[in-house]
Amino acid sequence: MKDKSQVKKGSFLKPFKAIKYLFEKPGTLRYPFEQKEPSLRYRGFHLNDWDKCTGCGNCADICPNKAITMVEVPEIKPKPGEKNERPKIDYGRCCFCGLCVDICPPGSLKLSRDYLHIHFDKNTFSLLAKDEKTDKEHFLPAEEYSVLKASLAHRRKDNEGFVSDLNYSLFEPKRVPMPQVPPEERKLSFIEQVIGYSREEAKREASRCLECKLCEDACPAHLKISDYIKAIYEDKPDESLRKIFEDNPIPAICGRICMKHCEKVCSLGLRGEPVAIRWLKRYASDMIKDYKEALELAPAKTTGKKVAVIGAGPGGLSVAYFLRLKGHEVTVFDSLPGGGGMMRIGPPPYRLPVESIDKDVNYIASLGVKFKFNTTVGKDVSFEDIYKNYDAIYLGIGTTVSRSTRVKNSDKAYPALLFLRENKIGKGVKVGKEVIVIGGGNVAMDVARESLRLQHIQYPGEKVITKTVSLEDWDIMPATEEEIEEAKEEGIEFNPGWGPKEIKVENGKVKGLLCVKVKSVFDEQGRFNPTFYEDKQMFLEGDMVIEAIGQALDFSFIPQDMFKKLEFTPRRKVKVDDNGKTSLPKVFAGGDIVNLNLDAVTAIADAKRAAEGIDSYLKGKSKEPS
Amino acid sequence: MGATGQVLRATGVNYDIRKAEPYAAYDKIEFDVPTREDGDAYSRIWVIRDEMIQSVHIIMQCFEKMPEGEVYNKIPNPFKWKIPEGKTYVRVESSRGELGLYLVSNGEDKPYRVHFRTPSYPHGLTILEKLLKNASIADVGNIMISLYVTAPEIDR
Repeated sequence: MKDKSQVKKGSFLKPFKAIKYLFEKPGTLRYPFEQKEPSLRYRGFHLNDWDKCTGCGNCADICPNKAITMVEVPEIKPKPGEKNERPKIDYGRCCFCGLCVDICPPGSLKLSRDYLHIHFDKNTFSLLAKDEKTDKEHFLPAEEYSVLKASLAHRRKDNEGFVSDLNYSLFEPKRVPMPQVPPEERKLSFIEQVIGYSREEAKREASRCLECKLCEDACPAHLKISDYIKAIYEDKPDESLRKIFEDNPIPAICGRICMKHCEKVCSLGLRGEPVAIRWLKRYASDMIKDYKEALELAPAKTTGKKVAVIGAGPGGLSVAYFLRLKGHEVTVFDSLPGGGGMMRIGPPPYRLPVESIDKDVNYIASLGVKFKFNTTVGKDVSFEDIYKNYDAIYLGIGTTVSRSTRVKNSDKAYPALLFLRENKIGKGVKVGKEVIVIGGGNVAMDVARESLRLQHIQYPGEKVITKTVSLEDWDIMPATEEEIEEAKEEGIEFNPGWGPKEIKVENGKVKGLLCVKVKSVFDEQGRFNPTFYEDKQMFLEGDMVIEAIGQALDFSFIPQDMFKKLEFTPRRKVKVDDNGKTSLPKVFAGGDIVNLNLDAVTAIADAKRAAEGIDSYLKGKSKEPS
Repeated sequence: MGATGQVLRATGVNYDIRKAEPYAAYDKIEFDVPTREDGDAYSRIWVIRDEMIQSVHIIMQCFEKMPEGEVYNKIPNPFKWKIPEGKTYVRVESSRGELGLYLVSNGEDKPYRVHFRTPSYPHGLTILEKLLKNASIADVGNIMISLYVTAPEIDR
């Protein structure tokens, strides 16, 4: 026991000494009036930039706790390649691991430095990072932000903590480079420029795909892109080819020259390089030597209906393939000696070799589609005969006539299509030493690059040059950047922003092209209507001029009385309904004559639609008593 | 009885998974496995104390032998992961003993079954039951603490 005397009695003033603590800085945080400053890469509540978010849903797929669901937001009008879905986060499940931020391809999803989130409405804990009910009210500028407001579920704007960094992202932003023949070598011959992926490279490239399927929505023909890329990753090219053939029967052609609407919207392309979807399709078709073995497709029981397809281009081939699988008898007419249509004459051999076209065409022929090549409808066989003898007709014709500039002496110029055609399947063209190509589109690039190759073959060792003249300046040139870049590498001279005025001719020989500076290409309404500075002129020397300024349709094979009944849209395209049917009975149409998109994959999409339409038309017809 | 780690080593058995089946970089690092003979609470505490010294040695060696290069490696696309079909058991020496992972996969992207073999389970249930027999109440606390049983680790 302690002695009582040892306990010292404190002064009665002692309790009042505590008053001094009122004026001292407290050792604890006066929560919620004070908040701790979180670290710079703090992982708090989510921020989502709705303008950047594409609604791809990768965050929902990766979430280990399934805390994220994609909800449709009807107010958002999605741009092409975007969905109107936005992530909704259940904070009861979220473990703040940040995987959703690391996988976010556009980098819109971030974790903020906010950790305070109190609200009387329990839904605010599970709603979107940006509240769709009150829109932006959740987010306050830094100066208005206070802890009291934060406790009412407000968050500070631009209070980013954990943000996506491409060096640590869960996807690979860099594409596997495609091996190509170097420009010095490829300009000397017609060797195929792109070598193609090896097995390892294709697998590595396929492994980059995040399977968000934005590309499938963007593709006009809605190919099952993520499925066939997955099959390539799993080393099953035959499975991949089967997936492609569900929607597209010409992978060898499309794998080389497709306009790749899919790659433009690939979510990886937002901050990195898109997945090389086109080259992977090409890989799948190249890996399989014999389609027949891999696909195991057979036409259905024959229906006895006969369908005529005019034009063996991508659209015609596809419609023949789809209808043949449904059991109809299909005959394809084409004026060219082989299948492929514009694909056969248009893309130069260094982009699309004839063997690749034949591979696809032969497979479609092996299913039992009859091809009548070297048969021009309207000349060798009349349209009336076809109309009488077949149950349905599909018009899959392309733009077969080259437009002319109609400047002085333009009859001395070479039309682009004739040039390409003679070169690829005809006798060949004798080119000049100085070639001038008029045009800035993809066809002009093809013509120019082809002419450069011919010059190198026909005049080996001599100084040759190919120039292009286009109305459009660099920024609005219609050719793809890739084409322009490759043409530049090969040494093609560009003269953008100049319009042709006159082709100078001396003694019946072309001397050169007189050009005038372009003031503007489009008028106020955005229509094509070029204006020029008449005083600014330039003379380009050259001994050959090729016009590649666009192509037009040729309907001369259709008899006049029928042609009058054919309805057109205001933009001079054939009018079709949802089944691809025209205003003429039993005539369907698709491709370049219907669409403003003049490319192969749109033609395939039209063909798919028309094939369904023709099939239901024929089946409906067969039910009627005859 | 499933004893591993310090509980086993305190009874004189020189057994450590890092020596028996070296994983990671343990085959490149020198360290001793401390043991005691008596198997009581006192020996277990001493084993742990000796292990602390060894841990410091291991860390110092790691600093010396660490190779230069990229710290962060990009992982492959998580959406393409596939766990090969089959089953596996892997184990490491944890601070309390053998920590094992049994995993069964049927070839999908997520495992079919995962089970963790944790040291607290045998230590906390079977061994503790044996050790407590005929022990005085005053010793119960020491025995339990020296087994390093963690309740949440018992069943996972």
